[in-house]
Amino acid sequence: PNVKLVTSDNEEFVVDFRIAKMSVTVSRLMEAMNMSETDDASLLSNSIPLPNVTKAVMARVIEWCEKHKNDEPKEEKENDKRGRTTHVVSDWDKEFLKNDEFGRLCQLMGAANYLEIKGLFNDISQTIANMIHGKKSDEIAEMFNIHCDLTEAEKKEIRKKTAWCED
Amino acid sequence: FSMSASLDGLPLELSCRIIVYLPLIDRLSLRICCSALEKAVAASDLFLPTANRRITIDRSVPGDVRVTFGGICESSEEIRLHADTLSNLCHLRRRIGSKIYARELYIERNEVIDARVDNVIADFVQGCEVETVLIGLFGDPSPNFRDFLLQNVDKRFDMSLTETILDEEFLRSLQHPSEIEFRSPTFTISTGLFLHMVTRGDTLIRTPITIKSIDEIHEIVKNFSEKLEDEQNVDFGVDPLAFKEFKMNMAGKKEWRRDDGYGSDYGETWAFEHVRVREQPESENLRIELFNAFGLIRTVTL
Repeated sequence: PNVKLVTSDNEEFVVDFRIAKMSVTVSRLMEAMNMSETDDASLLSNSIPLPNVTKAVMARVIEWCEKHKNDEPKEEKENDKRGRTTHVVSDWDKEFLKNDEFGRLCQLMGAANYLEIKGLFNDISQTIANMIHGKKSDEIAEMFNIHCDLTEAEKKEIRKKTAWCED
Repeated sequence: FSMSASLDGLPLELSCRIIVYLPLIDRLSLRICCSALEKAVAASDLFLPTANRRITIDRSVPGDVRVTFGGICESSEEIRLHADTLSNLCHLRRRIGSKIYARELYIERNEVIDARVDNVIADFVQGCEVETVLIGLFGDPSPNFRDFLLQNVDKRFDMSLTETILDEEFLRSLQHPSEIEFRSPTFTISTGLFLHMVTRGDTLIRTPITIKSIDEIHEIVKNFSEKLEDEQNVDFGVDPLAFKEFKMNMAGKKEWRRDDGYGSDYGETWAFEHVRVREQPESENLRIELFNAFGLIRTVTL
């Protein structure tokens, strides 16, 4: 059975029921609209409006979901022994996200957050974290177009406040 | 909806989710990029990079909470957080689902009762993942703090409560007396009982028992006296009411007051190496022998 999803720019996507169910948000909406896998009529007569997702972003989300639709539910160990959250991004996912500019990654992350697709959301968060990792503050600012609104005195104060956690 | 193409323009809840994947050194770099990221990093969970550290929270200044990270035996650096900052940290951490990690958490609480700060501390501790929590209490716990203590007597982590607790109703409300011991103080105190929760792995003989009435002393002590060996200490668990009654009974007995130059406070009676209590075969009285490091120093008959 298929489900119709309609984006903010009125583009209709017809996706497999399993793919639709990968989004917690869509699942809830289908439930609210009494749409079930065994009731073809309900699926045909209804479409799910997704006003927070554009056509371009939706296409990317569906591509990711197609790849992961048969995945076993993952029991992620969210925190390692040192208290840091870890998430392993698969090779396919790395390839999938590697050509996205930061702006597109943000849009995709926003969509994954809105649609509540945890796996995609974690993939993107970890990918952006990897982009930041190992860089100095001025390099981060340059890479992400950040305008620094802190004065030198404020920076000094922040450094002083965080001195306790520097070994 | 629009999503900023700049890292500092991301909604806080999204930037926090990125930050949790970053090690400490990257977070520090991010923090001085701009004020938005400074706030985002501050809102993320605290990441303690070194094992064997402890956090000390001291609320000696109302409205302020002093948090210390450091090893137990080394001098610690400290950071003072306002209670509001800690409160916001708790709130955001809950939303994001992250935790604070530490080997040991030590909370020192003075007699200035500030329920709001107390509540924030309880909330903060709940969100911590720690192996050991040590809580020093002077005065009565506020309701939330009391709830916190009650919720954690199930040994979610090793927890010790030390110092004086005045609220006997609170002591009675603890539902797992087998996990709590009211220990004899080792120095002069004027009031109250020392309360310790037993850490994991204690042997049977050290497992405390709660004596709910003076009558029970006879039976329990009999069992103990059979198991006791020389040089073995027994820590008595006494229900506060029974203890109070016991204390009143004993107050009139001169032999329970020490007169050997070490002071005369009633509490010092308990400053012996161990107390052995035996039933007298010829009567219903109890014979209590008090030992210090050099051996038997006093015998009392009840």
